[in-house]
Parts: sequence; C-alpha cells; structure tokens
Amino acid sequence: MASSRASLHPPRSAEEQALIERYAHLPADASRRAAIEAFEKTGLPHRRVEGWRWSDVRAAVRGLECKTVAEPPDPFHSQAEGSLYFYDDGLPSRGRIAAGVKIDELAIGAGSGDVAAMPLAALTAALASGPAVTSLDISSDTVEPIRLHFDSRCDGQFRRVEITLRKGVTARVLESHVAGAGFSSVLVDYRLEADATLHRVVYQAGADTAVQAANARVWLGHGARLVQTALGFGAKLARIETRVTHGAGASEAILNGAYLAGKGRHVDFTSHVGHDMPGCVTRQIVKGAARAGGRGVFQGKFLVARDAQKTDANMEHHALLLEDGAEVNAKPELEIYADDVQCAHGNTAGAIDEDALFYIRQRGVPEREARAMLTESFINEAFGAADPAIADILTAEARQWLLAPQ
Amino acid sequence: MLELTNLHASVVPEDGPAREILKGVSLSVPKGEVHAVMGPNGSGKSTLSYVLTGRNGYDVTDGAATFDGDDLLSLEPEARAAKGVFLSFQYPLEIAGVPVLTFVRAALNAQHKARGEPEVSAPDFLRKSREAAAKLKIDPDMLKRPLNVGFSGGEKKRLEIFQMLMLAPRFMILDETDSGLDIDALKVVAEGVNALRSPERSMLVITHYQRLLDYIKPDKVHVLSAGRIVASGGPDLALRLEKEGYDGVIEEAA
Repeated sequence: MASSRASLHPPRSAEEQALIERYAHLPADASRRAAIEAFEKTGLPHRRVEGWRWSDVRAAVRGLECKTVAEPPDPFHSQAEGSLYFYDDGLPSRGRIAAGVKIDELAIGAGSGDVAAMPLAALTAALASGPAVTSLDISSDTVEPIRLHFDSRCDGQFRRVEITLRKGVTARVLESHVAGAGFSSVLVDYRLEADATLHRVVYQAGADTAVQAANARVWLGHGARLVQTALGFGAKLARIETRVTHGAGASEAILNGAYLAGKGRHVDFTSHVGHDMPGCVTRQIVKGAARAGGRGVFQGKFLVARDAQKTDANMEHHALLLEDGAEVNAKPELEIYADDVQCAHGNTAGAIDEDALFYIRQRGVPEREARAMLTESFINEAFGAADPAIADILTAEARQWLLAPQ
Repeated sequence: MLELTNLHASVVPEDGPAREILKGVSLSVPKGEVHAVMGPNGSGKSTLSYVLTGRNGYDVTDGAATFDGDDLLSLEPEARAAKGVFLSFQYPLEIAGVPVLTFVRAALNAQHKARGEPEVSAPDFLRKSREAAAKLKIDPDMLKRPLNVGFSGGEKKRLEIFQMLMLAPRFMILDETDSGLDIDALKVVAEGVNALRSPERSMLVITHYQRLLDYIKPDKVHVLSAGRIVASGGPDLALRLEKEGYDGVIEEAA
C-alpha cells in the first residue's frame, strides 16, 4: 500500500517545495487553502499523470535559469486602449478601461471551483497575488477589446482573473502570455450569462528558459457564444488549456487555434468541452506546425452527457512536420453518453506537399518563402473565426516565424 | 537558346530503385523558335520537362543542358524560373488559401528581385492582370479565389497561360497543355500562347496529339521514344504521325 502510494506521489521536488513556501508568505484565506491542499495532493503534473504524458511540467521547471532576455513580444500593443498589464509582481497597471467594465481587485479569492482536474489551475489559485483575483464585470457591449497582457521576465507570476459577461453582452478579450524566463501560470475564469458573446484571443510566446501555463475555464449560459482563437509559439514548455462547459443549453463554442513549435520549444494545446445540456454546438479547428527540435501537443476532449441531446460537435486537428526531428503528439477524444448527437473528429499529421512546393518554386519563389507560403495557408484556417484585424496580426506573427532564419 | 547534349536522367522513387527514363536526348532550340516534342505514353516527355525545371526525384546521370550558354542543371528551380524558364504543368497544383493574384504577384516580385529589377507597382500589376484575364476570357472574380482550388481542368490550364502572360518568360515548356480543353478553350489558350511568340522567346510544346499544333505552329517537330529523339523534322512530321501513328515512324527510325 505504502509503496504504491509512493509511486503515485513521488517525493516533493525542490521546485514544488519552493512553490509551497511561496504560498506560506501569502495572506491566508479559505479559498487559497483549499487550492494549495488540492495542489499538494498532485504536485506538479508529470508524465505519469493522465493528461500530462507529453507535457512534464515537473521536469521542465527544474533548473530554470533567470537570465537577461530580449523584450518579449507584444503583438496587440496597437490594438486596445483598455488594457491590464501584469508583470512579475505588483498590481496590474491599467490603461483606459471602457465604460461598462467594472474592475475589482480582490484580496481574497472567492473559491476556485473544481480544480482537481487542473493541477496548475489549483496552483495558480493558491499562489495568485497582487491581487488574489482581478475581477471584471462587463455589463454593456465593448467595442474596443479588453487586453490582458501577462509579461514574465524572471521570477514568474501567478495570476487569477475572473470575467463575467452579463446577459446579452458582447465583449472582446485579447490575452497575451509572454515570458522571457521563469515559471508562470495564469487562470482566467469566464462566466457568460444568457446570450452573451465572448471573442477571446490567446497569444502565447515564451523563451526556451520559461515554463508557462495559460489556463482558462469558460462557462456558457443559455444561448451564449464563445469564439476563441489562439496562437502559441511555445516555450521550454507552454500549456494552453481551455475547459468549456455548455452549462445551460443552446450555446455555441468555437475553439480554434494554431501552434508553431520551433527548436527547443514545446507547445501544448489542451481542451475539454463538457456538453451538459441539450442543443449545444462546438466547432474546433487546431492547426500546428513543428520544426526540428520542436514539439507540439494537441489533446482535445468532447464529453457529451446523457442529457445533452442534439449536441453538434466537430473537432479537427491537423499538423505539419516541417523538418525531420519535429514532433507532434495528438490525442483527440470523444466521450458520448447521449444517443441523438452528431459528433466527429479528424486528425492528421504530415509533411509539406512536395509537388505543391515544386510548383511554387517553378514560378520563381525561393524555397524558404514557398514553404512559408504553404505553411501559412495551412495555418490560416485556424484564424478564420477571429475579427479580420486580429486575424491579420496573428497571420503576420506566424509569417514572421515562418520566414525567420533557423 | 536551349541546348541538350546526350541527356541521361533517371527517376528516383522514394521506395524503389532508380529507373533510367531519358537515354541520351540531344536537342537544340534556337532563340525565337517553337519546337514540338511528340511521343507515345511513357516515352519520357514529362520527365524531360521536370528535368529541365529541376524537380526533386530526378537524377541527371550524364550529358548537359545549357540555357543561353549557362549550365541549367546546377540551378535551383526558382533560379531557372528567374532566368525565364516557365513550365505550364500537365496537372497544375491546387494552392489552398493563396488567391491567384497574390500568388502571381509574389512570383513576379521574387523573379524581379532575383534579377535585380524593381518591384512591379500595384496599379501596373492590376492593369496587366486585367488585360491578361480579358485576353484569356477569365472572369476577374476567379483571380481572387485560391489558386486552382475547385477549378475545372480547363480553368486550370487557362490559369497556367494567365501566369505565363503575367510572368512573360523567355522559354516556355507546355506539357500537354491541350489535355482537358474543349476546342473553344483550346483556341483561347493557343491565342494566349501565340501572343507571347517573339524573336526573343522560344517554346517547347510537349503533346500527344497533333491537334494543338494546328493552333501553335511549330518550327520543328521531334519524336521522343523510349528516352531518345528518334526523328526530327518540320511541321509535316506531326501530320505524318497523326496519319501513320507512332509505331510506323518509330520503326522507320530504328
């Protein structure tokens, strides 16, 4: 008995010990305590934990050096006036915030919900500081997007944000998660009341000395709509995890994204969509490309509960292995308990079409640009649901990566 | 302009042994001339077009190919294109997500850059593309759609000639351009090709059938069989092939 328990919970690593000590310095409250207790049970997720086989955070945070790095990118700097900037410590700095958005900085977390399935969300809820929770209450349509910019340079940061979209409200949120070094984890909880629409964009880019997690939970009220577009470039390890709950029926979720994993980068797109109520629609298109020494991970799960009749859900993940030595791992999963549903998934991984490549080069386009052109057109499908201005920014970021000398 | 001397080439499949296809092709296409290469299936016609344009998977094992006196075979495909070598594909590829005009503009500017010429301005490019589209009876809306995606066989061939008009190459290889075209489309395509004929340009027209040569009149006709040129002559050779079939002409040559 003792030995089997030991294999499930290996001795605490120095990094885990340091995280628990970090908790001890924070003001105590019941919400934090519950979260750290949940984290203490699991520790940092590692390759023998379900859902983390390909993304071993415990190993990745070992020996993370804090060194001077180039300024992390900020692709949306020209986009939004309503901004919250989160740096390694301290209160977020604010730009002009649109009318109809009420911001509260809470010293005490208001419970962290079910974090058992998300060990890094539990850790984030336990360690989030300055403030414990930043809460945004959106009660009227916002034209300008709201920007949440998380910029970690060295010590890393743990941040928690809660965003509520009131009934019928449409809002746009741009999250950028950039890191030069350290271990950082962000948890954003979205709650969409009936008929609310959220356009969420997630941008992630980290150095090979950073470990990052962008965790989100999105609860969809009746008739609510989520349109999500993500672009991840990875880090030493980056996990972009989204858990969506169709909580009241007739809601829709679009969960698109693209990852581009260069040398020394690991990017993990994990999503879980719970269809709890009838008549919900989910559409997911994830495209990825990896270069030699880069690794992409896609894990997508659709769960359809017994009562969730007339669920209509489709999941697509397609990856391009750009060079020998590129790696992509994929696990698409459908778990269906209702009998009157339409659910499907498609998953492929392959190389660039050599015939198409020759065709483009025959017209005079040099090989690197021809490869970039093909990869860009492959990736772009994942940006099709985003606002055109945002899609253009994401495409430009992808193009820059594709054309950069290796 | 193009000189082939005893050209030997093998196709190298990924999962099999190399197989020699061209077994000593010698051919000279002077500036301003149009030459037709005719031959039965499997004679090496398409291989010849791919070897000249530098497609992967073909090994030149002997012989030479020069273009304006320069070694063609050592150049990357894009460098050959910048020198003015254009292949109209037998089966044009679909390039999803890249609109026709975006693609052609990228290709044109890449060629200009390689030759040290200035970029083409957007108004000039658009004007030129409208003229070329009108000449080929191409609906301008088609130029906004992703290249060849969902296009019919005939539309794809028309788009090949459209690209040819836009890029204005100096040496054109037309690989089975007539396949998939009805007679009206064939006329339109041939008019487009003929518009490019000039004392400065040459063409290699690869075809099974004499039909195309009624519209694109060659200066010389060559018969390719089992990887060698077995007969050469004037336009009347094509007519003889049509009448007597390949077997008769090839036997006579042997």
